[in-house]
Amino acid sequence: MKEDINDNEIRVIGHASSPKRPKRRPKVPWWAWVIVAAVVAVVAGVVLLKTFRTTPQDTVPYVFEPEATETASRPLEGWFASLDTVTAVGTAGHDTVVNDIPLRIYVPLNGAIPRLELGYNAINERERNILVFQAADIRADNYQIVGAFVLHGKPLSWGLSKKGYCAIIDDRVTIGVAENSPLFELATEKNGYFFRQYPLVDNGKPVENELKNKAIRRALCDICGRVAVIASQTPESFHDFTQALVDVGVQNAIYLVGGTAIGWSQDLAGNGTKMGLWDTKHYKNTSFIVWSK
Amino acid sequence: MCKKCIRNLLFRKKSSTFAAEMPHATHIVISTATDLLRIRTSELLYIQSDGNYSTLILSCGEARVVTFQLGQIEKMLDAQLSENDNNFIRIGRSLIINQNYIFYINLTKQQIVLSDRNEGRHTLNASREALVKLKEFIEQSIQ
Repeated sequence: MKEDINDNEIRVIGHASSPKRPKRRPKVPWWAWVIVAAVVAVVAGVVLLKTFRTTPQDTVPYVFEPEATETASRPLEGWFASLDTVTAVGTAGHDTVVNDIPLRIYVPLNGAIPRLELGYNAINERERNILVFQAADIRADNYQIVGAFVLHGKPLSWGLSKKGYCAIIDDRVTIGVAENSPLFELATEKNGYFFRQYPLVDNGKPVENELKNKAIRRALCDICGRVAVIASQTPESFHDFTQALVDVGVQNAIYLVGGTAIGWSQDLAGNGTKMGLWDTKHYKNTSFIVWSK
Repeated sequence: MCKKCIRNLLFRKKSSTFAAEMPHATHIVISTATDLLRIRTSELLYIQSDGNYSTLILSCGEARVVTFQLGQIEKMLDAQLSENDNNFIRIGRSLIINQNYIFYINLTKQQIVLSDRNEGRHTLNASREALVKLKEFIEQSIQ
């Protein structure tokens, strides 16, 4: 309270509305300051996140290590767009090299009906089958199918040994990664098919697996909106093969038995090609994914 | 019983009645190293500066001199009064009045008269400008 009042002034003592009295600040409860501080902290955190979080669009291009562009990450888009999706019957094939890994892409076309088959006899209809690859793995101790397996609506095996799955329901192939998938039950209800394998690519991101060594690798893929089988032409590690799938634009992929496992394709001209070793020991529970005319 | 005592008794009764009429009666405590003065503010008529001392005039006619400057007394009133107690007004450098006892303001004579309800009159001098402001303040308070 200032003492320097002159004789011509008046001051009401203890009155807030007095023209001579300095205004007192209204008391603010302590919890109001806590709320204000919390709000300020949240706002500051959001602002900092948005300021310093880098996005692919915000990344400065480098001279010596240029980042992959959107176009380069889907190099097969043009080829897929050029496929005859109306009249061609058979498997369209395409060779490419990604990260120095030669790949071959097999795309079953128009009217190709997918299914699973069990045993080698089922795949001997070479005239009718346009694409065949081994699907699920079998156990080395009891030769039973590894993981859940449904054949034409009939469950033959159960269990979660591998998180990747493929379901074929109403002639539609679905590839995914999940510990529990309702498509297993749906396949049993709708005379469909279901099998499990190593997951390789999940929503465009590589899935790490612990398998070592190098071998011919194959994958059942969802790429550019189509279902395809992609196989390495040289022995590759799981990691390098998976990365190559990602770099070629695969959205989802699971492993198909590779190495010397048998395969078959019939091109658009009707010419058939065998893959793998057909004269090795056969197991009755060997499963195949088959596309037929 | 002497007239003065009877009058004092009456004063106390009327003062207490008067205090009851004032909704926010409080006390002011002026404490030194050797003594303590506690006065009901409703009985405090005005305070006049006298150099380094201040004289407190009570409604019963008693005068108390304290060893505090008027500004210090003003601070005590400001600190001790409740927020609703705005009866004291400092006029200029040398006067603090209890506005409840204001009876008459004369700008021409530069005088303010306080009445203690007991027909006691206390005529005080103040600057014309200060009395103009006081008069306006009182007029605004009744609007």
